[in-house]
Amino acid sequence: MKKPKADLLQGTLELLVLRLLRSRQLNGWEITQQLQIASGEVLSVTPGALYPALHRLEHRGLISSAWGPSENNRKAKFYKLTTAGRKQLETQRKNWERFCGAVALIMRDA
Amino acid sequence: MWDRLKLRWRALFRKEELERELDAELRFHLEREVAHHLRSGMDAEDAHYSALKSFGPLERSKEECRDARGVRFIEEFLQDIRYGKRLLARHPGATLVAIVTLALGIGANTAIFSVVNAFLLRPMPYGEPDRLVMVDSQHRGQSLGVSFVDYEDWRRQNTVFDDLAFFNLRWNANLDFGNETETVNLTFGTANLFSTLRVAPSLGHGPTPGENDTILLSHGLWQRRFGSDSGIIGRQLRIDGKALTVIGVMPAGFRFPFQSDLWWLNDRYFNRENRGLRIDQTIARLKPGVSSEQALAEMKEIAARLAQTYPATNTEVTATVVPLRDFWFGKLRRSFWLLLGACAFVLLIACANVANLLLTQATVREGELSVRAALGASHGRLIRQSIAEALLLVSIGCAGGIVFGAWSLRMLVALLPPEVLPFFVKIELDWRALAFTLLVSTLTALFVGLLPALRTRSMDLDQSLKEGGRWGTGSGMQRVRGLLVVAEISLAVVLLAGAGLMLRSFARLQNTSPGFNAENVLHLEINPTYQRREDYNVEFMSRRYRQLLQEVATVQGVVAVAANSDLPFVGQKPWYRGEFAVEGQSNADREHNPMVNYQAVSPDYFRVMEIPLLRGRVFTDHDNVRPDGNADVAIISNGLAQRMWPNADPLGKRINCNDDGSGCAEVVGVVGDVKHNTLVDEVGYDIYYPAYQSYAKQTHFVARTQGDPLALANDIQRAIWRSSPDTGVFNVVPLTRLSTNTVWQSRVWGLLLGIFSAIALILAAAGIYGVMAYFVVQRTREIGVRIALGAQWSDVLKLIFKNGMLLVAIGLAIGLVGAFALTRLLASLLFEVSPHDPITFGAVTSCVVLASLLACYLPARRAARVDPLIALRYE
Repeated sequence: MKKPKADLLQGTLELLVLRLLRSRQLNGWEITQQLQIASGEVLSVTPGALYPALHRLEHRGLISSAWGPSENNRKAKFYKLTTAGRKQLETQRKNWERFCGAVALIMRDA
Repeated sequence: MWDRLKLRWRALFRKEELERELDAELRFHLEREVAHHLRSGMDAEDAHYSALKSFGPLERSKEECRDARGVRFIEEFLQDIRYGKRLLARHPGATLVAIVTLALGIGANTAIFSVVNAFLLRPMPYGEPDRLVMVDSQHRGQSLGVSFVDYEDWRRQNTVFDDLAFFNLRWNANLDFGNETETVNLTFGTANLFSTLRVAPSLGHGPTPGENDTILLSHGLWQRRFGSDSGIIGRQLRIDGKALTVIGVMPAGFRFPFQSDLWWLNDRYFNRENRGLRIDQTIARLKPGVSSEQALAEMKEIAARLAQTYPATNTEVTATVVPLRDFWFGKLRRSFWLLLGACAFVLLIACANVANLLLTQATVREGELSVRAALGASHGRLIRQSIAEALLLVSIGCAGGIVFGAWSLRMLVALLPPEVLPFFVKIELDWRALAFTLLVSTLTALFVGLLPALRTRSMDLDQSLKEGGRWGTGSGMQRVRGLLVVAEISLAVVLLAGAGLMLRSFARLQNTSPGFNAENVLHLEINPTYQRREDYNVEFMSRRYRQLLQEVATVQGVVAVAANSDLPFVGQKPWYRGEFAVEGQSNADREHNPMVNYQAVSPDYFRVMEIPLLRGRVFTDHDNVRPDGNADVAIISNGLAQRMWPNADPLGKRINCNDDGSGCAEVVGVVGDVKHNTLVDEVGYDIYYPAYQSYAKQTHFVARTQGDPLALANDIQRAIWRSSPDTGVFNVVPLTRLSTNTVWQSRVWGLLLGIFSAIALILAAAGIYGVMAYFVVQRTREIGVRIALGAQWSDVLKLIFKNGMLLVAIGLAIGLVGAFALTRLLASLLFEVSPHDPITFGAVTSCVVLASLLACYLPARRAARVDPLIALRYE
């Protein structure tokens, strides 16, 4: 089976995940919650999209995972940013800003 | 980086663990989601339901997570391998044939490549060995050996060598251990021998000026006899009755020139007076950037100058320069490449057979493949699967090939007489040979894998499916298979022709007489120690030999025993070959005399060797010693008598007189001709002197025995030591061994080519059988219809044979033309057989035709037994 093509939305999801993991390590459920809260309830991600994205990031070496106790003291898989991930976040963030600036420029003219 | 590798590793080999983790991770999420909903006031069932709903299709996200692992390709590949395994297991017979075929092809190649590698590619154990050359003098194309006086002039006058060193080829020295004597090879050389070879002693030091009577040991002798004692340096050894001080031990693996164990390096040893005494050898190191051709040109100039200055000794004496490796392997090299070529043929045939098998399977599976293609399998995936299947086949074949190769290498080494191999040739299955095997098998895999795979590209999906999953007639495919069979047959014909010629040549050799009867004769080399300088006189030596011969003659089972200073087939020394003169011959006439071999023999020699006495008499015990070492009687060979005195009685003629006409030897007998160096030589010209009249430090004994000569070896040795305990006895072998050693190449190459061509013939026949069997299966219905319509058994046979034998005829024709062109390469290895020998070519043709008829007959018989009812129901 072929890998699904990375579209804009997915690229964005990966960027957002990297951003959320910048300050501390999180498990999958915490990421969905954080995303919702941090975006002011505008954005949400389904687990069906989140987990494949997390596994892809891990296999590309941008994040790493380890099992540890969750806040309710259950075993959960926590993800954290690797050095490569930190670099990737920086470049992607810049690309994103340039992209947003360009879109904004066009929208203002229109 | 490491983490990612670990992930990949786990993805491939810890799949269940990853699956469990994936489940646990998703379950955790689900529980938190449910707890979250519960907290916001939902009842349990609703909370569970909506949590599940938020997940979407669970299995699909799991599948996407698995995709993320990035090992999909490898997983599919493993799947292909498993699938291939099942397919191959479904046709065990064909699979076995293919694997055995490959194992034979790959194994034979590995073994032969190992040998070729050992001979042609392994570096010699000297510094920059490719710059070493042997320099020799030559007279009318005959190699002579070098005199020390010439050597010194060469060394002074040349500008092409870094250095030249001088040494003797072989000297058997007796090493005295008090109660026992061991004869070892000692090399006399100039002090610069090791610096020319660029090898330094691993213990002690090399020769230094001012130190005389010093000796260096080989690593092997040091280990074997002195327990690797480093205190050996400075110790004295008694060698040939003389005390010599050990100054060094050479590194392990170093030998020069042949199996030497001792080196006595001192320029003072050599004869500085006699420029014509050409009995030794010269090795030289080319200056960097100088080719051996340039060196040869300059050496020829120097030799020409010397010939002008010293006409008495150097007229027509020129020089040769031969790279050291060629000096050792010159003639062998060609045969090895030929052998490798023959091997490549076998491998090609093996590949063709395997390709044939896979093609058949691909055809049979066309239906199945088209169904898979229709269900969406990509073309690439189908190709990958074909390659996986081929790789599986090849890797099993390759494993078998390595086993077979190691085994056949052992057999091959057992065939090569160790005496003829240079010391540094160690034949073993080495990494280069293994790498070569892997390369060959990978190429084979691609070759056989791609043919069926490419076939699926041109597959017409609609057509295949319409035929209801049954394979089509595939006329294009049949053509490819036909071509493969034609190629196999023609390759097999070439091999068979080569093998046939070699075997015929070998049979000729077996029936060739060397001029004496080597059966039931034991050969020994006798090396007495001369404790006192005054022992070096003819009278003392001949008295001792006479005594030793008498001792041996008393041994139970010895019929007769004799001595010969220079026995045929033991590597006759160059200084025993020389010129001769008839009494009264002018100098100009002498020039036309042939070179002769001088041998000093005891009276019973001709009886022991069963060389016929044609005229006159043999020597007696009364042919007495003369103090100057010359003989007053001689026996000559028949060929020499015919050549010198075609119309006169040779008896009574006098030869080899001194300048003043005195000291002639009178011809008292004429004996049969013998061959000297190898069985394939022309017979030579001989002059025999009585052993008791000639000067020989060491000699050969030949004893005619009742029954197995080797059984008497110990008794004879004891008898010799009883009368003379300080006499070295070595090289105790049956004389037949020495004579077959001279033709070991014919034997080994003949045998190997024979095996190869037998394999080739079987493989080619299997190929024909495969094609014809398939042909019959494919046409079962047609044949059924024909039989139903009244066709006879002979008609069916004709149909099959017409198709099969057409391929055979084409292959045979191509093969015969190829063989005719290629067997010329064998000409130098053949003995009394023309490379275009009609009998061999005829035999090859009938061999191939017979094998092909058999291969066609089996499927034809099956075709003729086709039951028309069953055949028609097939549809």
